Amino acid sequence: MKKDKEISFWARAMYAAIMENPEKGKEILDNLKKSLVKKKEIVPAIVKKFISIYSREQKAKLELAKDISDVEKKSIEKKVKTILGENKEIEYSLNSELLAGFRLKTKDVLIKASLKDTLAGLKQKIYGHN
Amino acid sequence: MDIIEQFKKQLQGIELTPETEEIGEVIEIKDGVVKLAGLKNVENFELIEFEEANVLGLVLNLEEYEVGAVILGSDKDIKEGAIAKRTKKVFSLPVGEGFLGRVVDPMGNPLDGKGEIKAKEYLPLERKGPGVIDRKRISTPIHTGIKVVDALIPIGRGQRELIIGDRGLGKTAVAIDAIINQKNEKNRPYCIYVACGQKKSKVKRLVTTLEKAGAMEYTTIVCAFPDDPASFIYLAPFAGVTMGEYYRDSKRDALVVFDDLTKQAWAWREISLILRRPPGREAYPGDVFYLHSRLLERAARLSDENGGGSLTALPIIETQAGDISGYIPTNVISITDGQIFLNSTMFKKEQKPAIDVGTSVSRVGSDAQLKAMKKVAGRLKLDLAQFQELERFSEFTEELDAQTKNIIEKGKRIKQILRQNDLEPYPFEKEAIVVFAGVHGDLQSIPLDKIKDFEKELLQEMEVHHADILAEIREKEDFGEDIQKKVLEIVNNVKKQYGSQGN
Repeated sequence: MKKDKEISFWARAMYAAIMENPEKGKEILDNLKKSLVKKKEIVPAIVKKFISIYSREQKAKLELAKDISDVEKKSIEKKVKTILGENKEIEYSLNSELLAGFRLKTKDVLIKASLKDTLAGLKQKIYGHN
Repeated sequence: MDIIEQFKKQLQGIELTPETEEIGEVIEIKDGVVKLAGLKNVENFELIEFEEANVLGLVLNLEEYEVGAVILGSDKDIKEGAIAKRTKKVFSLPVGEGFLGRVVDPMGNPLDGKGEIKAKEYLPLERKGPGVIDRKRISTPIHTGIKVVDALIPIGRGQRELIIGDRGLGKTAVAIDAIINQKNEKNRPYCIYVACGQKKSKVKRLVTTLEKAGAMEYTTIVCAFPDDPASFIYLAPFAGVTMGEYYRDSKRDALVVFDDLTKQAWAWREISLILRRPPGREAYPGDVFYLHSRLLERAARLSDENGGGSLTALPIIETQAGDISGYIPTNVISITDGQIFLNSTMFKKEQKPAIDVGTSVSRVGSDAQLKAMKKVAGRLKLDLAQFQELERFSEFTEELDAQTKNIIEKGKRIKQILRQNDLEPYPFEKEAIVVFAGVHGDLQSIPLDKIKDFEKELLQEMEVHHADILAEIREKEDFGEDIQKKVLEIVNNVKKQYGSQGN
């Protein structure tokens, strides 16, 4: 349990450092390795944790009902920046179950703008649920 | 109007826009506790929903990067990466009269197969107890129907009286007697029994007992079984007290039994350790005192301005080998307004209920006794104390003077008369008669093994030939001198059947 906590703290620290100085990524990793000479075995776990934190914090997942053009993607990215106020790397994926529209998911927010979700909302309203 | 038209009408005015939900992602799950990333603005004690698993969670830990929550249900469908969304609601429980006669889980879902419970009102599970100004002095008794309790350790409406003792000594029986006895009471309180980590077979037996006694009609049973998640066991007492508060706040009286809080403390310890809260004494978290104090502070007698309702709490704590100096027992003793201590030595000597009068206390005292009981029980405690002291002394000597012998013989008979079978609570007026006979009836002339027969005979005589006296005591709630004279006469007459010459 103590080890888990330690890995988590190092990964968080690494993430904060890299976010502050993105160009010094390699240097930061080297420093981490130097600092953990006696605990080399936890470095891979720290990096793994860092990647998971990075993808959670910096990436947004966009599920689309059908493929869209690059122009449309650019326009979505612009819109996402205005809504969330930050640059997010967008991972695109296709999900035909959405019928039409999209779902955008970041760490804290889920925007449901698909026909599937609209129909589900409609069903709830007919049942009288809020 | 056809169905299409009906739908059209229903859908008029509905705006369907993209929904934005605040969410989090499961990063770790173990033993019914999840750690989530995200849920940026979530509040403590807010409910979250695991949409795919169709289960709710309760937020308990807000950390810098993570949120800790307990799962309120099965965790088998929640996987790493599952999405949890905010509901923006604190945990609230349906309450109301619809719950009377029902067996429910801590979420208010029925477990008895008697169909859905419709509740119009919801109350938050976590609330602060009423403040000092909102309260009133406890002055009305809640009779348990147990002679020794009502005479020596009286419980008032709004009081918190702990029932404490080793396993198998009859703690639950004391509480169940109290519930059954409310059937005969004026301004009958509504009862809630919280089975916290109790076996299913025990709960089943209990429901049958209450049904047989006709007590289920004013009782709700809240259950969290040993195979339920720890979160259920932790929440069950809060669910019970919330249900009781509904009656308290609507100018009525309620009685809630927590059977038992030791198991709730265990469940909270389990959750806290998984949430990685720092363990303290016996690995309990630092807030285990606060867990019980905030629960029991909600029991109160409200002032007249607030409606005058009351919520009485009977928490139960199990001790190990009679040790009341354990961590949880001492905590709860210091929170409550007194305790009923069940003693294993007395239990082995067939003194049932095995209530140790010396260690038991009610801090509300005779304020919570009716005039009648005050009059008859006044000398009882003194007589018993004298007897206990001399009984120990008599073990070392054979030659005793007549007065000492008399006190010992009287004490033995009082102890006999205070014996009572499980599930046979006495109405208040009968308790008064029996205790009066024990204290003032000079029963020393009756052989010890005939005392119970004498008691039965006396009550039969009262019921058959002197029902008016019983009715008068019940109505006036007093045991005046004229009644005392009449009862003493009846006692002397009944005594004659047991070889006594009478006084």
